[in-house]
This record gives sequence, structure tokens and C-alpha cells, in this order.
Amino acid sequence: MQAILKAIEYYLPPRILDNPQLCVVAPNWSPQKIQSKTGIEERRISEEEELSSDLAVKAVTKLFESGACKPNEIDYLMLCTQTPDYFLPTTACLLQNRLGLPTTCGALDFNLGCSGFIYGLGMAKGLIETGQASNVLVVTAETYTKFITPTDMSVRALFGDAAAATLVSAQDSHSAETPGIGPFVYGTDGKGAKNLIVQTGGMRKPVAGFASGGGDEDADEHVLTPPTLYMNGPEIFLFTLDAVPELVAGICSRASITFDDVDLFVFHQANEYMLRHLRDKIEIPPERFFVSMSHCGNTVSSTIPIALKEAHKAGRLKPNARVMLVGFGVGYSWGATMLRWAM
Amino acid sequence: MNAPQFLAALHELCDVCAGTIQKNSVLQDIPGWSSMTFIGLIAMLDEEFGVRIAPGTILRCHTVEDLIEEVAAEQKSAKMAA
Repeated sequence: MQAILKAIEYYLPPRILDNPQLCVVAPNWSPQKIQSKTGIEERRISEEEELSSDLAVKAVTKLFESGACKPNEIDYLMLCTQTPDYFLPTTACLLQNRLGLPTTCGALDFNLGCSGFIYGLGMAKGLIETGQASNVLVVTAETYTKFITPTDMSVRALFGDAAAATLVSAQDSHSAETPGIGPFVYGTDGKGAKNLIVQTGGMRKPVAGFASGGGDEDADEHVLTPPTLYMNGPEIFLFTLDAVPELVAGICSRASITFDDVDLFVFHQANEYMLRHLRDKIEIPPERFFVSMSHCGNTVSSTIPIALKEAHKAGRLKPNARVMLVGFGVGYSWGATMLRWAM
Repeated sequence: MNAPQFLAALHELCDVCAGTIQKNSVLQDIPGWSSMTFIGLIAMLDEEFGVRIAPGTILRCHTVEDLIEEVAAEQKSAKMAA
């Protein structure tokens, strides 16, 4: 058996935050400047009561409605999110129930950001090719915008909310030399943790009243402000300049391929300006480098499946096309794989 | 690298008219300076001048001239290492 990527659907919440709206709180910016510096025209914002699980249900429901598979055929569900509904229970368990998946279905959450889709594919392949599962749903869902203060343009201009549902299924192996998904290269450097972080709300810095059960609070220990996303963009960019070229070289070496063997390169859609710089630095031909983020911004773990879906819709992915997927970011965490397009 | 070459690249990055930025301009007061320009500066230093300078080091540069000196020093040490 080998794992193949069989279907992708994604969902964006309806509320739009476009560049003219952004400029209302940042009058020294212009819509054109935001567009030219990020490649983003609009991003989608979840409503206050609209959580990652809600976005995930919408994305998976689209996948079922597409006819790719039925709920009772799913035997494993994994949800990549850093904005779960609760500390516990596992949001994937809630999704199993809401989606009507069998109670024999395995379900887990995993906490990764921009590299999460690559890790999800890696785990799905492992489950399928060791005979533990046949139809794995890899769901990515984030509502980072709930962590963003309205005046912090460095993150507000970039991030949008979204969910994507990807079906990875077993099929009979045709050739060991052309795997449906893989090989993989991974990497981690926790020294970069401080550069993209929500410091409060976890156990290290609980929000006020939480650790004491709502009783006496020590304002020195209990943070009074809501959990807020902090990003040191320049440091993150410097990290990508080091990590991503090495990652691309690593996956080429692991897969014994050159750039000529790759039909399309799909990187984590962090920021189009950064992507163009990385593309030129690595010397990837522009016509084989796909970018799709102007309509939704940086949606963290969903950027790669969204870009794949858009590339497919645009006719950029023919059956059997070889695609390089590269994810990198919060952690720091990174990963890359090769995909044989099977849709 | 020479100063006029660096100033020209900085004008282009910040999208300002020629002559707006001088060597003694305070870096963070440059018109158009923002978090995104900062990222663009790192890309520019990497692409056009072949150096990577830590954001903390850039923030310690008060004027454009301080940054030019930092870039020149980085280029010199890269040459010596090679």
C-alpha cells in the first residue's frame, strides 16, 4: 500500500478585512503599499464565536460534499491547530462527533503552525503504509486573528483565518520508485521560539484569575492582557534565509532529484515579498513557483493545501505532476516533502 | 560597496524621491520606514550586498551611516573568512 493525496477542500470565514480597511487604523500605510509588500489584498476574519473547530467542520463538509469519500470511510482524523477550542478535550474528538465519523476512528490534535501540513502528511503516510489506517483526514485550522491586536500592523496585515481538509488514502503500490507522498525532511530549532509566540494563556503565564481558580490574583504573576500574538518579522525572515535553501537542497538530495524533476514548487505562503526573495535566492524558475495568498493572507498551516487547491483549479497541476512542498515557521519548525499529484 | 550605491538601494526600498535619505538620516525616521520595510532591508542586504545582519544589530544603528559601516564591516569579515 502507498499513501496518496486524494482530495483537498478549504473554507474561509465570510468576514473580509481588506487593505483599505486596514489603513483606517494605520493612516501612514496605503493599500498599494500593503499589497506590494505582502502580496495580500484581503484576509478573512473569524467571528468571535467562530472557532477552529467550526472552520474545520465547514472544510471537511465540503470535502464530503465533493464526493471524495463518505464520513463512515474515515478511519483516522488529525487536526493541526494552535488555536484549539479547549486545553482539553482534544478538538479532533469534538470533530469526530460533529462530523459523524465512526467511533472506531482514531483522532488527535497536533500543535504546529506553518510546517504543520508537511508533518500531517508525514504522519498520514506512516499510518497508511504501516497498515494502521486507509483514509486519513489531515485537517488544518487556525484562528490566529483572535490573538491579534487591531493596531499591530506587522501581524494584522499578514494573517487570516482558514481551515483546509485533505484526504490521504491508501492505494495499491505501482512502483516503489514513485511514492505518492515522500520522502520527507524535517527540522526544528527551539531557539527561535521567542520570535513568533503567544506568551500568555498557557500554564507558564496564565491569564488573570485562571491559575487561582478565579480567587486571589497576583498581578505580578497573572497576566492581565488577553493572549496576544508577537512576531519578530525580521528575525523570522533571517531564519528562513538560512533554513529554507538548506531544506530545499535536503529534499532534493533525499529524493535524488534536481529542480528539473519538479513540476511545481509550493512553499508555505508566508508573505509574497519574502517568497519572491527566497525563490530568486534558491534559483527556482518563476514559472514553476506557485503563490496564492492575495485572497486570504497567511493562513498558517492551511497555506499549502489552499495553494495546492488553487493550483489545481488553475490547471497548474496535471495528474502525476511532481510537486515540492516546503513548510517553515513558528517553533522554529520546518519540513519538506515531494508529492505525486493524484487528483 | 559605496555609500551612494547603498543610498540608492535604500531610496528604492523605501519608495521615496532621490535625495530624501542622507547618510546622517536617522534610520527609524526615514519616511516609509515600517516593519515591512525592515524585512525588505534584510532582503536587500542579502541580495544586493551579500551580507546577513541580525535585526538587533540593525536596530542599534542610529543613522544610515552607522548601517553603511556595519554592512562594510560585515562584507570585510566575510571576505576574510573566504
